[in-house]
Amino acid sequence: MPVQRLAIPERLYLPISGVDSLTASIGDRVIGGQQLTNSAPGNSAIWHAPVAGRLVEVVDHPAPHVSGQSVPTLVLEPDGSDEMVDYTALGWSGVSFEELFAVVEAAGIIGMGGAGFPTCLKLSGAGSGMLSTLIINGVECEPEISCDDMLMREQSDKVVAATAKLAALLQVDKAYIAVEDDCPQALSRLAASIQSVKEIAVSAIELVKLPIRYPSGSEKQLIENLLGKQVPKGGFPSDIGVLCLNVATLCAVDDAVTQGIPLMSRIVTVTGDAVAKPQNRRVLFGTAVADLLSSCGGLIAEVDDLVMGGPMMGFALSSPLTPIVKTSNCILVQRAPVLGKRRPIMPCIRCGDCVDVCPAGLLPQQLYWFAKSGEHDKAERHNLFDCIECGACAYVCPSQLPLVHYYRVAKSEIRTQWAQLIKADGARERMQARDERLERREQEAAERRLRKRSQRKISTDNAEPPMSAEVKAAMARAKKLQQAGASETSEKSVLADKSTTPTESARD
Amino acid sequence: MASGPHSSPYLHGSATVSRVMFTVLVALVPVVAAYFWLWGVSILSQLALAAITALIAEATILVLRKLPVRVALLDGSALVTALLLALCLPPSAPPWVVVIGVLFAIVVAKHLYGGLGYNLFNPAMAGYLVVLIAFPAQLTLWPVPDMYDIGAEAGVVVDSTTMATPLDRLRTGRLQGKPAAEAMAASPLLGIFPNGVTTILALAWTAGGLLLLATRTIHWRIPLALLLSLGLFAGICGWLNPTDHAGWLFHLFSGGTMAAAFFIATDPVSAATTPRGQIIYAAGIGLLIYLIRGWGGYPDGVAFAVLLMNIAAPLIDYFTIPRAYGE
Repeated sequence: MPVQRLAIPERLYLPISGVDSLTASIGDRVIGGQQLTNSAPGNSAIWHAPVAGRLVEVVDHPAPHVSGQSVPTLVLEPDGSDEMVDYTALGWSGVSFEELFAVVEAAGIIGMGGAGFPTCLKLSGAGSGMLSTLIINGVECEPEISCDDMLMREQSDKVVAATAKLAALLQVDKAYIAVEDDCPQALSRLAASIQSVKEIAVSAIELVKLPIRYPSGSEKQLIENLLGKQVPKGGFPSDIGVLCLNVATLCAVDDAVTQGIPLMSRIVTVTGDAVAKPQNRRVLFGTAVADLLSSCGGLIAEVDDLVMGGPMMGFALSSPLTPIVKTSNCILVQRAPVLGKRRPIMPCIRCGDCVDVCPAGLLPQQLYWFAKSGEHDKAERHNLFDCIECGACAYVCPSQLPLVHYYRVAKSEIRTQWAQLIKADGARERMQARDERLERREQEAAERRLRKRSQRKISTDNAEPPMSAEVKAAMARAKKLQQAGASETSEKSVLADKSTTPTESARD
Repeated sequence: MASGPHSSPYLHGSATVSRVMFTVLVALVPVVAAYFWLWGVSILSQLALAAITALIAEATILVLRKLPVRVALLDGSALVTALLLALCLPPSAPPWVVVIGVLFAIVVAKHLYGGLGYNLFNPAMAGYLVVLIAFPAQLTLWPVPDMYDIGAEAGVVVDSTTMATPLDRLRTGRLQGKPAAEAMAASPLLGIFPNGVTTILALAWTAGGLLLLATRTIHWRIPLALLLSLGLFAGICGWLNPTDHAGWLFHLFSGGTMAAAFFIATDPVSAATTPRGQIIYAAGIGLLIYLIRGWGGYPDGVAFAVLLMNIAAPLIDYFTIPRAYGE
């Protein structure tokens, strides 16, 4: 069954917490494809109106984020018209590397595999001619997700053509399209497309069939699987000459280059045993999860959580009104397990099964101890921050320990400590500056005093500084007056003395 | 105990602690069968006594510690400890020795250190060492198997019902200045393996160990490193001085070597936990076994070697943190 477009919902919710400013006002009518927000350069957090309609308001609305908090959200009420911006496109043949960067940024394209890294930044890290390898990631990031599989099945020609064009533009030596071996249809379609497109393609495209081994859809793991090279710690794939794009991201880039269409919708997998009709749907950004679920037949069982993302790395939503955004690849609804059937959490027996599955080469059992006991320095020494939270360790754990949860908590505690440290550093710097300022003032005052004293000393040394005749005369006059005044005041003081001691005289 | 917080992953594999423990129990079947074949029904009552003592001790301590009893009893860890300990004792061990050993293992070595997952020492080995040191007479002499031809062992049988183990004979011979070959030649099995009864047991432990490897309950690192290390040192010494040293095959198939390699040293709680660390840890046990057997005060050194390396495990882990991705 082909991927169907979801009917336009009554309201679309576009979270705008990361954007700089709105380019349209509340109450305005906007048309499909019209840019709604600005963002900082290179951020790509740009929203385009997915359809024509009216901007109703900005409200606090549940965000598609692990925190489940509400963030300022732009509400768009579609009016049913299909009026759209008149798109202008450069086309692959007309676009230069620098223009590609601008096109991708303006189209609001970010990584659609789940991480949401701005695609223009990936390109900028590359630089024309600096890359040797282009990898198109068709490996589903998690089990149960099939949106990329569907995309490759339905648009294999587009995927292959775009790969060839991009590879030619970036002047890479080699382009790979990586697909897992449980997607036979996607593999055969892509293989056929490569055959048919090869005549026009400049560079060689290799279709790679990978065995299923979670998390091979993760960028760094995929690169290691394909090339046998690791991205350096703290670095980017471009450091080893690789650009890796999710297949949906590639299609978005292709749309932007060949048709000028910005990113306004995506394919979302709706899955789990609690939804009536699990399927893939093309969904406009801003569509509430509730609307998507009801279009899939609704829920047929009680669920603990609405999960956005896959079963391994997804997060529970705080509300069914949470919108689908650019990174929302999957909605997972599983039946709540019967209470007695929940397996108990047992102590860690250090079996080490987690070590064998950790794609980051960590010691999850040790990190668990350190996270649990708050030994943050040891956790960092054991590379806690290299954990990609893929959940493989918790999946295999015979003690059912919620390992990833512990790592998340420990990471956030450490980050808070850092922030406090930085804050404390700031306070210390301010204190130091204050002390220095006071000291400087003291010193200046002391210097002033010293200067004055030395000036006075100079003035007393030259007892009679040279004076003009008028000044001398004036001073003489003043002296006279002073003497006269002095005699008056002395009389007064005598009187005053008398008046203040009457009783004494009376006693005499 | 509580179920986890609502956070990813929302999928979980089928592994459980009790499945791990019960797989170990199943893997002990060949060993129990070997004991049964050699000494008859007495081993069953010994195992039952150990198991019941362990469960009662575990339940009592859990009640005292105000912890849920049912879950911990069903996890099978107390049973594994008890049965491993019972299978280290001679089938003739008096019941009170079994009870004291198991009580020490469960109460002191396991629960006083914090219970499952927290014990520094291997509980079965700690319990075994307590009774070995306290009651050496009851533990060093093994009964002559029912089906065994006593005549064939005439030279080494101490009396009509008990016999010394090959490692005992090796040590006694060493102390008396006899060549090692005499101790080894005493009881060949099938003309291949150097000593009879203990080799049958060693093969049974190996069979159970292969089952653990096949079910991926244990990793190959520890057994392989232990056997290679012990075999290497025994081989070198045997090659340099064949008169005084028994050679690698003798050491691998004597005493508790195979039990240690597959069932004791692989106890994950008390072993090193990093991949490289496990190899160092197991190689250390292999070396210590050989040193204690060759120059120590006891004929077999397995329990001491394991406990000594238990102490070293945290340090080994500290120095063998693996390289993270991209490092």
